[in-house]
Amino acid sequence: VDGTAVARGVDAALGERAEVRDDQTFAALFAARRDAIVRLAYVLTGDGHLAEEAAADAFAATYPRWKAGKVDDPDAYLRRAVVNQIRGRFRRNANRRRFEQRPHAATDTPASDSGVAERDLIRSALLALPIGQRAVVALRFLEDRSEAETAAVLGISTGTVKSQAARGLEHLRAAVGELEPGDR
Amino acid sequence: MDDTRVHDALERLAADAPPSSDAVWQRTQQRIARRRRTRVLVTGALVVALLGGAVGVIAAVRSNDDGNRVAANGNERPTAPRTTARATSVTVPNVVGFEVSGAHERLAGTGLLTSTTGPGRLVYAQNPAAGATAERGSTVVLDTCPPTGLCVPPMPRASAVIAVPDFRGMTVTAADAERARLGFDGGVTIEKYHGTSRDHTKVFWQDPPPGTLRRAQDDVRMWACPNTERCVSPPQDFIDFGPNAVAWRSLPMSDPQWSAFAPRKFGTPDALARAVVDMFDRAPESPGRVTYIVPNKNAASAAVWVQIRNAPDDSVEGADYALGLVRRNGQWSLHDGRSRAICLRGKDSDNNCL
Repeated sequence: VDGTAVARGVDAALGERAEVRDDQTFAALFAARRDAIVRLAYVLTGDGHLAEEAAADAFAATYPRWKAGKVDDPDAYLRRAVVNQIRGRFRRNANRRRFEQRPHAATDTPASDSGVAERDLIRSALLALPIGQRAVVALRFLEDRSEAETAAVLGISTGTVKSQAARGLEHLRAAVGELEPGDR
Repeated sequence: MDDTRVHDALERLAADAPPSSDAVWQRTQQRIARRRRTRVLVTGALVVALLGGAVGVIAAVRSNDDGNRVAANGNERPTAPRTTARATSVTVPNVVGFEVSGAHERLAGTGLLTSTTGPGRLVYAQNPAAGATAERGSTVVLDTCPPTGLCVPPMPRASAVIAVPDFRGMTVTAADAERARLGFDGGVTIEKYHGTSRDHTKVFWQDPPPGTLRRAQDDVRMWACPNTERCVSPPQDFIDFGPNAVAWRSLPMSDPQWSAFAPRKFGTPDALARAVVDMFDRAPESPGRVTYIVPNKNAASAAVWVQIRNAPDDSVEGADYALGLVRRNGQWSLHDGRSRAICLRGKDSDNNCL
């Protein structure tokens, strides 16, 4: 079954139940948004376990406000929540050290696997960015959101989105540019 | 590198994201439940705090009402139990060991007023005692002592004093049983050789000495050894504060008995009086009165309870002070509650004791 079609179906169901904020509706909302949020969290952290933790925290943080009817746009709210969760986690030195000291899977990958090598480069380049720039790059170039949408999700100005995206892109270009075109 | 290439690279990276599983949903549920529990606990704590505050305010308002009525009659705060319109009896709570503010709060919560004596913040005695029945609105008198330094409770009434027996020559077991039989329920320290039996080790020295009067809660210290003939008397760690240390209570500094005791400890009685007076910046002619001295168990320090009156006939109320008498390097020195040395022979230009 096409995941996008499922999400659309759930969205339709959510649309019909927009005013009903019970646990069942939240479960449907979770099912519809779970993959996208975990994916975003994974790109922002580069770690599957941390991504799932951050996603769970974001959904849990969203739930009480959503139930109280204070969340107009669950998509935007969840994304901002997950960025904030990751920002908070990376502020804590213990987690940062644990993550930085953890050998990444790509480190042990043979250099001949060029796809893996590029992913590793992208991941390293992304993680070298400040979390704000990382979030802008992920929303702009992974989720293809417009500058206005990205600004609305992160609660920052469009100008900040532009500057952060430009800096982030420049950094990624420098990193990915190290790969020869034939490596891809 | 164009945007499309960045998008593709990010897509390939995102493809490594963890696949769908129930783990995230379960963690989400756990976190939601935890947040609920926290919210319930915080709400409950707030409700309890608000209710407690409301009860305290009501009690304080009632207490103030009572005080205002007394003031309107031309008196200051009442100092003796009195009958109020609401003649309801209450049980006096224990406030010994409380700070004065806490004691006042606790008594106010019961509907009682407070009156304090002494200079300090800590309550060491109360009247009526805890557990007694008093009328609502009556006053509980609190005796206080300083929050730091040594705090000596007041001397007991005669009926509460026990004559210390002669434990010397008794086995440790027998001496301890006799101590308990007489009603000494304070601490007991028995210094004896390790590994010796309590039934065969005999007491050869004791503190307090036989015949002295002590309170039931006072400490009793005994020294014992297996062969009393070979025991050194007195023990090296025993400091003789005199046969009647507690009898120094209410002994005026002019009393000749001080000559026997004071020169060895304080220089002269006059020196102690001057030191005490100087410490509190009072006129040299103010009479000082050492109410009593109690040596500590380790015999390296003692508590001195001093009263200073503004008039020789004690007609003007003065103040009580608890002082610490500390022995360091074989020299005794007097300290106030902040461990500030009191110089018996004055200070030099650098503020050091002469």
